[in-house]
Amino acid sequence: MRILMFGWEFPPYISGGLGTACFGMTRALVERGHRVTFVVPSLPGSSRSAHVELLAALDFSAGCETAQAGITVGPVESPLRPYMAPEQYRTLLEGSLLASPGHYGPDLFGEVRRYGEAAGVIARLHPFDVIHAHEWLSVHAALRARKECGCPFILHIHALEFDRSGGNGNPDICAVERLGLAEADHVITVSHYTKGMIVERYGIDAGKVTVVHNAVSRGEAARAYGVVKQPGEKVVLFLGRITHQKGPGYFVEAASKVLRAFPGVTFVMAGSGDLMPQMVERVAELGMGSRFLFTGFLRGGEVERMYASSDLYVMPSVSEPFGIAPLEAMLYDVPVIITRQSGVSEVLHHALTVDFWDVDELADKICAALTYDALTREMIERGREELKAITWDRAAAGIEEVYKKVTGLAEPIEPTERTNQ
Amino acid sequence: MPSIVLCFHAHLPRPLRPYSFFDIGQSQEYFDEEGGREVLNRVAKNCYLPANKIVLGLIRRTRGRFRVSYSISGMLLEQLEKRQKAVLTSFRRLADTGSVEFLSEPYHHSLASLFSEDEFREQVALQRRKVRTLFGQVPRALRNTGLLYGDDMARIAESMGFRVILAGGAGQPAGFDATTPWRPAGCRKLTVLFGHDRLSGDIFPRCAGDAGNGQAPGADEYGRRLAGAYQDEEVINLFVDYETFGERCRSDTGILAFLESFPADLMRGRNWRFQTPSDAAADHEPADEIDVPGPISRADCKTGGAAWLGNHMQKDAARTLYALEAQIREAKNRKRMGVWRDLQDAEHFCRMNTAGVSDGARHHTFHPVASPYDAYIRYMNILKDFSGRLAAKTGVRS
Repeated sequence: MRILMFGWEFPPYISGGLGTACFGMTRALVERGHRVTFVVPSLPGSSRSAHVELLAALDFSAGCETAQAGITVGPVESPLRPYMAPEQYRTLLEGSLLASPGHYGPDLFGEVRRYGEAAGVIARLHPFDVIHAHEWLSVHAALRARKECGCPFILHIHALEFDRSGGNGNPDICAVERLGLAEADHVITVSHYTKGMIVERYGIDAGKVTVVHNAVSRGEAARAYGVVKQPGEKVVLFLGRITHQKGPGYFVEAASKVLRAFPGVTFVMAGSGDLMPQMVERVAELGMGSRFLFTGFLRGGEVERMYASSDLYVMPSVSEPFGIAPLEAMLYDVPVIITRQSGVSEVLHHALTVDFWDVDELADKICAALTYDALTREMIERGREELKAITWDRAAAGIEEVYKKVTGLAEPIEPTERTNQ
Repeated sequence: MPSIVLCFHAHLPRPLRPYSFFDIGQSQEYFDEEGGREVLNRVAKNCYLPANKIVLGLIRRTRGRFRVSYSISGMLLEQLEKRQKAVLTSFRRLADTGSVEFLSEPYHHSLASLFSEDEFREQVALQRRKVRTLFGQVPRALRNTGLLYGDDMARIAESMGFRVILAGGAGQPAGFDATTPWRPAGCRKLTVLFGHDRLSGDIFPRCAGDAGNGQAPGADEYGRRLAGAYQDEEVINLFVDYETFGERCRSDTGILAFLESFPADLMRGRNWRFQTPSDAAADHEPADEIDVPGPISRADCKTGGAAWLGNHMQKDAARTLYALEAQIREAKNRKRMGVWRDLQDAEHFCRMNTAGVSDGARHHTFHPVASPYDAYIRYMNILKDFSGRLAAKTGVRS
């Protein structure tokens, strides 16, 4: 099938799990015989490096002929970035040459609509069978494209505004989500957890929503890192955006309890986010600065090295539609603790689970994982088996079913012409 | 014309309390007494009382021709004595009919036979004494936990004066005949009866469903199957968990009605006999000697008890527990010995079973714990506290 996909980000330039998911998903779809045109908003002009990043993205799709032959990454010039709040967008515009009135929208929403206009142009360029849009930011783009080409529009929800904000969230964003969910011909969610929320909060018919769990790609470099570890020295890792949604505060509080029992453990908080200053302050207040490290945002190889040198990965998310990071940690034979409020707990059984608010339970399980070798050994060995079944190909097969349902096309159509790049 | 040896096994675990890492050294409350009481009362009401009534009725109506046997753990008997006198009385009434044989088994439903011969002997002797006190019978038949069996266990059983031992049917070579009594290699008087796994299992899984609400097998159909395929066999050994009747399979599945009708149908319509293990051993000459070097058990527990000791956590927990034996004996403290033995209950290890977790399979337990990992953590935390206190008393570092 010819798929027109709208997203936020695409590797290697990512700030969260969404880009990773889109990468794995599209590669698997291409391997199953589909052709994907992937449209991302990207930041032009203001920094030259953004332009280079853009080229690299194009190189990527053109260079790896065998694996990525069917994926075209088409950037639309736009300062949109994932995980962005309207306020941040304004700050970004003010500091940029693009801030001239009339040329760009005055706010994030204007920008989303502008992204939509461009999408309309792309949709006119080539024939497509289906439109597959990720998240609220691409709703306008998808609607516009549907208007142009008339093919069905699938909205793929990786997170809701409710998850990101931890409350009612931005009403404008909620409105776009509501519009997209209502207008879409079909909705895909990354977990039953998120499906339930859509049905409950937005009153969407459950029959219109299909759950396709995310997966994890095995990097070629996995386990190649010969990290030398000090015997007896244990590292407990948090890796993710330091925002309310990810529950970093619970990690800090649990760390202080664990350190009372195991003074030699090192806790690492990798990532960046708006709660970071607060976390640094709290760590200092609890007097555990020497045992608690902040690495800032990590990329590529750094992430892999970080996983490889950890003894335990903790994802204390408050509301996590899926959560790929624990699966990545498991690729490095790191046992994981996840919250029951996460979609990944629907597919991951060989992990310890806690309620995000229960700091005592979290500390208890961290201690157990650091103490009982048989526990982590069992989790790692069983986890390896379980990971084998959590593949992007399986996810792609699920997505394919949705395509068939909405388009009425039974078999994937072999691409007959190549899209311009 | 075959005889049916129907043996019910009854046991309820003493559940563990949620016990966190931070409770170590702080709390000695390991067991969830209230939870245990609740389950006991529920199972008494759903299963023990109604099922005993049915069995008693069958015995009376057939004027004692319905003969049946029970293997009840010492732990359960103790709980019944303390909290469910009515159930105990109904078991006594069964004993008084003369048609019911009570078997011996490890008092604490333990896997001691795999770790310590001394401990195994002691637990069997303890339970035997309990049965004698309560029911006025000295058990001559032995049923090891989970129907674990091997040559070693047969030797121990014979030396303790048992004449019959029950065994699981799993892991037997092809062509092996479970429907005749066998003589364990190296034994002179002992007979081993192998459970018919498939026919025994038919009673439970068929009505288990997801929540014990499937359909019980029809007595007619079950009887026809038995009659069709096993008409010429000697003995058919049906070893079934008693809690199947009304608890694991709820009564609305028709399981209690099945219990009432299938023996009556077979006896009346087909003239089959029901026997206790000791009857069967006295009546049928063992076919031949049989050699079983490694431990075997029930089919659903896999060979050698993989359901209890199949993974790293289970092995680690059991090894850690039994490593305390010497210290426990040295300490000579009845209370500590009791705790150590209650921790031996095979159910604790069963809950650490990770096989099939990914497929969403749930093993039936009376006190569900969130995951096998949680079960292991809870157990090990308790064991850590327990061994710490023990070391402090005996001056031995563990």
